Amino acid sequence: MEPMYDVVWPKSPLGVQSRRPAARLGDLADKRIGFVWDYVFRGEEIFPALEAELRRRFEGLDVVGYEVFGNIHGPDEHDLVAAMPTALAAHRVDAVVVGNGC
Amino acid sequence: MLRASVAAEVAGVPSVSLVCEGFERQAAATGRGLGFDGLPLAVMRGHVDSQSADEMISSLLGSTFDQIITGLTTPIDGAGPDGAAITEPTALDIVVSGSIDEVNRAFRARSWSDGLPIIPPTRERVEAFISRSGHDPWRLLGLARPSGRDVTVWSIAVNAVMAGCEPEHLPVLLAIAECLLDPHYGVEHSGNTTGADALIVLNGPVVTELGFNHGPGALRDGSPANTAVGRWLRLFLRNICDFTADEHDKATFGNSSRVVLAEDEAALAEIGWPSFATDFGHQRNVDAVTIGRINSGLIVGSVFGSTPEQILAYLADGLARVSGWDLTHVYGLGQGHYRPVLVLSPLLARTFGRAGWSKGDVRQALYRQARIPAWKFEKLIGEWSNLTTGRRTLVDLAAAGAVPADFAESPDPDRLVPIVTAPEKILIAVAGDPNRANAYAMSHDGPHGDWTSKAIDRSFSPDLECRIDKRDACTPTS
Repeated sequence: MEPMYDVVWPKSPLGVQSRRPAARLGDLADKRIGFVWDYVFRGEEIFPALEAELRRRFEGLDVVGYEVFGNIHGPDEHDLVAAMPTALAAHRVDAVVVGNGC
Repeated sequence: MLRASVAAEVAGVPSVSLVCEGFERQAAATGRGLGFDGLPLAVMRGHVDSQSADEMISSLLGSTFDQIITGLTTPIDGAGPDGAAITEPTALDIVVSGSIDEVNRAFRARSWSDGLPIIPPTRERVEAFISRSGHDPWRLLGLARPSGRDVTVWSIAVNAVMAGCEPEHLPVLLAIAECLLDPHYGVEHSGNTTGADALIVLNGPVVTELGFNHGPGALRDGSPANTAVGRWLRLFLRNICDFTADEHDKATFGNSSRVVLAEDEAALAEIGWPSFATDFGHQRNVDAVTIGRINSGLIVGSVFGSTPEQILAYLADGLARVSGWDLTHVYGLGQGHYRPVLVLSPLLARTFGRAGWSKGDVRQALYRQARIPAWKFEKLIGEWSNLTTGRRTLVDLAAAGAVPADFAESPDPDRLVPIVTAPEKILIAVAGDPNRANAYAMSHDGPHGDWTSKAIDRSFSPDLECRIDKRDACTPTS
């Protein structure tokens, strides 16, 4: 008779609480959009094009550039991500576009 | 990147994350591991690095732009209330019952194994594995990133049983887990597309007392301790950190799991060199584990010469040749983070030791000789890889204080520049066949797996006894 085995789960429970995303904006007109970049994969071309199109489509929309938030994939990643809430509040940012995961 | 999106969401600011095609699942899994399921993504078709500027912008302003607007303005369906739980098994649930073949088939089908046969992790076997060292199975060491899963003694032990580890390996595994949990290491980057894998370096009496191989065939599978512990790390990354192709692992070309590199402590003592662990602040003869992620390896074979001067140029050339796009960790993705490793056979190390060279002397000499043309350095991190924005020259970077002055001794593009920012950034280990003149140069993934070292505590733990029998007696008093 071949031995039989009752085996346990090799993973472990999720230790994070599920959380509700922030409320979305009804409209982007007159809103301030922050760009957050990891300084790879052509953001220096992508974000200016995105900014121009957002401004063209939404009256009164303003942009806070990625330079404000720093390189979130660089050596200061942990500190910059931790500081993001403060930076977003300081610049009165209503929503963010974060890139680029490639 | 998703970590920044989550930081914004936590602050009450809606986000949308730009990803290239093929990264949707990884992005979703990263959000989930941080507590946010279903954060909006805007997908860029294909990969931006292989598109012309016109193609890329045209695609961006097409479907991607609409996804950005939708992501910022449309309520997210199915977003649960705070505290909602995802239904999964518990740690002690029996998830498979069957023969060894049936267990292995089930584990492979659910991506819980590395493809090789595993030892079935029965509850009895896992408990026996832990009880030998007295640890409390449910002690929480921290949260795994990017999965958000609990790292417990139990979860470490289950995967150790699967890998074929022995109970006496548990303290080594606990120390490796502590390295992985240290933010300095950056375990969340372990699925990046360039596919680096960790090198575990072991030091101290543990090497010989637990039978780790430090001699001929170092870094080759076959020695049970080195092989099983190395395999455990990949299983841990798979099952606890969720680095599978379905979720966080985006490696284009992975490395095989690396067996543990144990240093030849006797050879080090003979020539009077500090060990790898000592370079990270441990006392000599302390059991310690040090890990870092390695991108590439290069054998420097048949090193000819009987003096340091005769063998140095070839060793330095190996370090220079193994360093490529990873130089973005000198400046770019990292800043002064690049720390390549040169593993010397004891015979080569003795050539230096015999001539009175300290390890620091070797580092200084390698720093001076392991150099590449400035134009090549700039192309590797700039034009060829596009990994460092701005395409600034090394002269400009040196003027700005971003790299040392050694990188800008003249404006000549053919001048030779270092591959690291200081001699001590070059790491040296001693292992392998003591009678052969070979070395192994390895590149490094900078802050995406930065060298992290922890002491190994092999003393019997009172944790389990305290938890069950002597709760009051063992409770710390203030």
